[in-house]
Amino acid sequence: MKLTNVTALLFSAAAGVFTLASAQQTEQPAGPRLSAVVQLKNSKSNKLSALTLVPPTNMAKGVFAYITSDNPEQPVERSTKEFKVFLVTTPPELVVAARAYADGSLSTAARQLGSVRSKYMPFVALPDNPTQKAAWMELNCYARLQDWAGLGKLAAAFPGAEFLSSQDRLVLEAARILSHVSDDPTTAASRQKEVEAFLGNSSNKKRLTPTAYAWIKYAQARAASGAFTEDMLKNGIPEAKAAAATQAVDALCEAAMATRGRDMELPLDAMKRAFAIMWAMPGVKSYSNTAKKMDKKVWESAPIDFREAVSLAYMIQNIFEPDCKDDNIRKAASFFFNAQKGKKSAEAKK
Amino acid sequence: MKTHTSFAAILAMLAAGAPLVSHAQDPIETYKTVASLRQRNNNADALKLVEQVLKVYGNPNSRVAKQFVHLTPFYHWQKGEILTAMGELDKAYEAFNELYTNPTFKDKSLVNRSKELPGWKSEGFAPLVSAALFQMGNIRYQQAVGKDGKSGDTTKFDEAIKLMEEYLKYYESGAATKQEKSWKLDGKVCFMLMQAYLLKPQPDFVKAGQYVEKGRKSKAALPDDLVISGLKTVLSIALEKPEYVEWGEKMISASPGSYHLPVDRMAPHSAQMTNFGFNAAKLWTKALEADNMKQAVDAARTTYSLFGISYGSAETVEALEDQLKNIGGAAGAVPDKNLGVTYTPAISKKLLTQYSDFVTNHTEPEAYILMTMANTASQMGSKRLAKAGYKMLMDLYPDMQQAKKDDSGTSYASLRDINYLQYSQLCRLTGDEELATQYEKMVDPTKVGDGNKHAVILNKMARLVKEKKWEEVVPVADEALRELSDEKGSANYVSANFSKLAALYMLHRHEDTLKVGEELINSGMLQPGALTEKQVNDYDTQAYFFVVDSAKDLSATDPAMLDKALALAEEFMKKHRSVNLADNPMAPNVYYDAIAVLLKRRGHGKAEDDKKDLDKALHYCDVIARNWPEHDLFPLTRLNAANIIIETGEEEEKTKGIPILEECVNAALKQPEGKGKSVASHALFLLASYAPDFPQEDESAADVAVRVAGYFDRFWKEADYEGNNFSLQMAGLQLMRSLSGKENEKASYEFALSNAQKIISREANYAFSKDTHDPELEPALNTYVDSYVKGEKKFHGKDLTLEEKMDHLKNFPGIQKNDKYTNAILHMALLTSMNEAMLTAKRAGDDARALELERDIARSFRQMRDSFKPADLTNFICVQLGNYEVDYARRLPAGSADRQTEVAMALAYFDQVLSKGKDMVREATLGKANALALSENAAQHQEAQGLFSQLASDRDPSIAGPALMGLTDLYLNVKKYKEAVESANRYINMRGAGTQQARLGMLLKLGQAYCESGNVKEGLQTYMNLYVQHRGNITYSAPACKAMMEQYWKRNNPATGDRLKGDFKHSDRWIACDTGQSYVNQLQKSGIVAKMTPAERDLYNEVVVLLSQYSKDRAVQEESREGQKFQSQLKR
Repeated sequence: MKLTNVTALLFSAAAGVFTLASAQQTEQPAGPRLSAVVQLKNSKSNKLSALTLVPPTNMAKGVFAYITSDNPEQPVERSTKEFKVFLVTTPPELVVAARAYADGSLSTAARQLGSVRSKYMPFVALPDNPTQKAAWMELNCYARLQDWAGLGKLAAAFPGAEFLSSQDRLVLEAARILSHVSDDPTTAASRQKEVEAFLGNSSNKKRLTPTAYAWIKYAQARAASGAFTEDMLKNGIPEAKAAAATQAVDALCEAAMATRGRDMELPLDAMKRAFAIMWAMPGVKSYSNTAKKMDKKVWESAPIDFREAVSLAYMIQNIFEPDCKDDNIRKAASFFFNAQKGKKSAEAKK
Repeated sequence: MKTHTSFAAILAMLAAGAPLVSHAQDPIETYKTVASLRQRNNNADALKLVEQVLKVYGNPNSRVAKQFVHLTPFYHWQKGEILTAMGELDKAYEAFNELYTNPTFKDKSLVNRSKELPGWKSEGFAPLVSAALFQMGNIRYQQAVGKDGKSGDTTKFDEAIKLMEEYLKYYESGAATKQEKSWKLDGKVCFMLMQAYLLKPQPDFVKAGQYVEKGRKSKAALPDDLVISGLKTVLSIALEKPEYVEWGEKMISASPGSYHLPVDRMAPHSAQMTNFGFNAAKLWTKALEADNMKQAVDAARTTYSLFGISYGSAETVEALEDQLKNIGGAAGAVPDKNLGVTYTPAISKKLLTQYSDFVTNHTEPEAYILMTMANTASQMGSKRLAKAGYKMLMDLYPDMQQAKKDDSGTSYASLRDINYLQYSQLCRLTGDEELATQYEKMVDPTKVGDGNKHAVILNKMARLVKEKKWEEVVPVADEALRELSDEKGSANYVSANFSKLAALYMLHRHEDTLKVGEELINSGMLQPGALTEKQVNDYDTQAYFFVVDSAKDLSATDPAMLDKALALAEEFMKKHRSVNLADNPMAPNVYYDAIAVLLKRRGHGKAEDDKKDLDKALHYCDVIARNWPEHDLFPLTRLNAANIIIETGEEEEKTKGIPILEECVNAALKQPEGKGKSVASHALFLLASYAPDFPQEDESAADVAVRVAGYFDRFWKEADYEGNNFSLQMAGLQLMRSLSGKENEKASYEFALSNAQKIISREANYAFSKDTHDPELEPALNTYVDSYVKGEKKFHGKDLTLEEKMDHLKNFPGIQKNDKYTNAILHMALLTSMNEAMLTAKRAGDDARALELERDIARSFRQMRDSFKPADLTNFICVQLGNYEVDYARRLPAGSADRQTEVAMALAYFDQVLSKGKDMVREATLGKANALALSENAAQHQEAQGLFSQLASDRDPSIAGPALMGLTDLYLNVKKYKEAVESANRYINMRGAGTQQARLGMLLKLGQAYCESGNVKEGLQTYMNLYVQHRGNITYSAPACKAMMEQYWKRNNPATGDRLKGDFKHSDRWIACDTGQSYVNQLQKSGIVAKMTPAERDLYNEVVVLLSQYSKDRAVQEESREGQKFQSQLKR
């Protein structure tokens, strides 16, 4: 067992804390201010300097204004191009909001991030500015909260969109498509087309970030499963629609896997929807009503859709949402059979 | 060590402001010296100084000490720090312990005095006294953890925990000094406690978890490295001991924000966290295999928690590139003070290379995350999630590689084929066979590893078997057998063997089936072990069926196979005795084959052997009937049993066949989806045919009639269907039977007639729609026509005119115009009717009518020849038309162009039949020979002679007879008389060759042949026999008589000998006249002359004319006179 020297880390951290406290004391409270750690390209020493940034009069990419303690009333404008180091220090509000985001308190985070976004709007032309940093996280909050309206609104009016890279704009496009998700079965076909047109462009797929890819997959899944309304799920899916239902389940399962384990809100939602469809597949409900105690033989002879629904329900209830209240999921999970029992994987043999 | 220097720095600050008392003994000045020594790492001298000071000022009774005692806590602290730095941890502990426990230092006034010192204005040395407790805990913790990779004394954890908890309690009580609070030690203490609880010999995760929670609430944000290092401690334990695996997830979810770092900050740890995730997933798998579901889901949650904080390499690369744009130019670390983070370009660049390599080498951890998620989902039973995962793997990471490290370095292997294989298998498991097949076909078996290679080949084999692509199964099974050659006898090896056998059987490759099947049966591989009992039984029973069935089929050309098939079947019967179909599913089939073989073997041996075989066959029929009355083969074996009884049984036994046939019908008609209709039809046909011959006990003829009517009724109601082989025969039989009914049973006849008509047109249309020819159609139609004529007369008293018959046939309903086959049959039926009418007219002497009809027939034949190509016609009709052409040609002048045309036409019909080579071949060959014989061409004669000779050896006299006749005619025609004698004699000596008439005709030809060949004596003898024995048959006796007369006349031997001596012999010419005279006399006396037909009279007259001609000869007259004279002299 390899151990890090814990004490060493401990006290180096303590040193950091001491400095942090002193930095906070020098913060000037009036107006939107930012500080940045910078170093000029032509600087001969390796020394970093701290700048206090104020809103520039002219908003252009990389243009910023700073003041000095000698002359706080007379901002000097310069461009980040002149600097080999230009790091905007994260403003304290963003530290707090980002922590809420990281903690998964998404509603709180969205609210806090929204105010960071507005407050630092004058600095939106700077690299890694707090406004856009906050806005990206805020966008994620809306997506994970399934707040389609908030998502659409922010994606449409993303701060400083003119300063974004083409890849970032592609992510916004994905967010816009995701924001079209709805329960309205009548728009499913057009949503499906929208996704297909987007994915049809192979360079889009290559350049998408994993998060945005997962969004698109979710939007696709919701479009593919759009026809399976709650009513239909309640009454059972007719045989004629079984093939379409199978495709919808496949799409939902892709959405469930697309984040590769991160940000599990949309994947979990997709899993539940996939479960609901499989639970309503022809023959599944009637089988569940007559199903005997599960053993290997019973399990192996059960309908495929039944086994799939049960396995998914079990995973939802035991891995992703232990306090899941859905009666169907709980009922289905109770049929779970561990088909791996007694198997010897290659790993176990070693 | 930063730990100590930081505190040293604080104390140095304090020292800087301390009052100077004396240089030598000034503890404040000395403190500066100590600090400076320590900065130069001269701990030994620093310690000496500290100890000196403590010795001087440590004595509470000393006046000096009293003056400076408020400074000694600082020295105690320094002593502890120095000893810690020197690795003298126990001594350091003692130093801190002295500081913490010395009651003097609890003295408030002393503390207050120390407050006067600059730099420590607020709290004096008080923070150090309480912090000494923390240091004591820290020292025990360090001792427990060990240093520089050496393991520590883990028993010290308990003491460390005790001390830390004591400190934390003090801290939380609110008594902690401001200085301590500003250090925010609680978070760190919690962290250390958490670690200590985990690292001690018996980890206490509950306690550790509590401190994670507590630490989270502390106000200090711990730096990333510390947070992650804590997590790593937890994981390294939790993943080592599976019972703690839940703590990975608990740790993260207790403070998600601490671990969910932004991409660039996570970069130093992401790949490692991913690896921890993989390890958790392995525990997940193991727990499932051990059926420990609690542990499995704990591991699952930890797996997902770890994947949840990891990032992919592509996004990490992007984030690091972005970060370096901002800070890349810096020489050292760039801090974000608010965030408490520093970014170091050198580290980021190194990470960038690392993650870029993942992308370049296609070994992205995120791809492996997806794969792991898919595999674990699959193990949990969700093949759909797994399938989705592999779909995305193929889509997003088409070039995914697996890195393999060995002595020669790192090599990469593509996972493409493995991923395709996995996807295909998951498709199959979720019921999408089509997609499974599609992807499996894209897999290169050589690139999926040996284990998988076998799987791919075996899957392919299984797929082809399922798709019934038997041709393709054989080579794939062979490939599998080669691949598995070092695991002979394994389940897969046997399965490949069996698949091959089944494919060979399905392909009707009987010899191969027999060979492979026997090898498998005798291989010794079919036994429990690698195979289950059930597999052994299934394979063995089916293999037996395959070999028995194949041997049976081979016996069609190799009678020795009959014995082989039977031997194998009986071997099976001995080996597999169970009558339970679940254990012995092929038993009925094998018994059934045995029955078929026994029936076929009849006639190949002695009669008594046949009897034995039949008895055995009957016994096997009974075995099936007794044991498997529900089996599909039951009706068929009943049918067989009845057939055996009725056809070969003792006369009195035969009636027993009837109820068996009824059993057959009942069972067959019960079979689902009409499967048994065909067998039921056969049985009902036999019942309807045989029932009148075998009345059951106490059954009157009327009863039988009712029963038979019931068979017909049931046939039409339950067993009939379009394309049924027995419908036409049944309709014909019913129609013929109806003719024997009483006159008042007209309704039966009417039904049978209209039914027959309906069935004929239905079956004609069915065959037409299937583009086949039903051979039963022609006899059925002929029966129909015949019965119609008879029925109309019997039930309606009407003699149908030819025209009425023709009208009826022409208007036969439901036949499609373009169905040439059926229309030709109808046309032929018309011709047959006309021919009959013509013959009737001839018999009645109505020559005019006969001639008229003959012309009609000729016209009709022409018409037929024009309307139907030979290919449209049945072979039967082709032969008939050809024969008609031959007859017609024969009547045309030899060598004429017309005759040649007809001969050519005839040859076209016969060649059509011969080219199809199915039925009527010998008949067509005969016709062809007859046609060729009519030509004037020597080569064609030669060909005809060859064909005739070949047919003359046929066992069937109905073929050999006419062939010999044609051959004889041909020889006579080409003047090969000796050969003609031989062929004619063969004909005459052949049993069953032709009618009496034909034989008599042949005798005439034989006589001619003898005479022409110079053997006049035999020729005359032949004529004589014919003439003497068949005098009354003018058609033959008259020509024989005439021929004899001519031969005698021609030989012309003079009279010899002396009448008186009694050795007189008449001259030939006299005998010629005498022969004719006595023939004429005898016929006139018998009155035959008066009854002669015109044709006979013509022949008779020829004799009379010749007789009168020869009688005018003078020599003959003279000899007659001398003879009369001698006779009269004798009378006197």
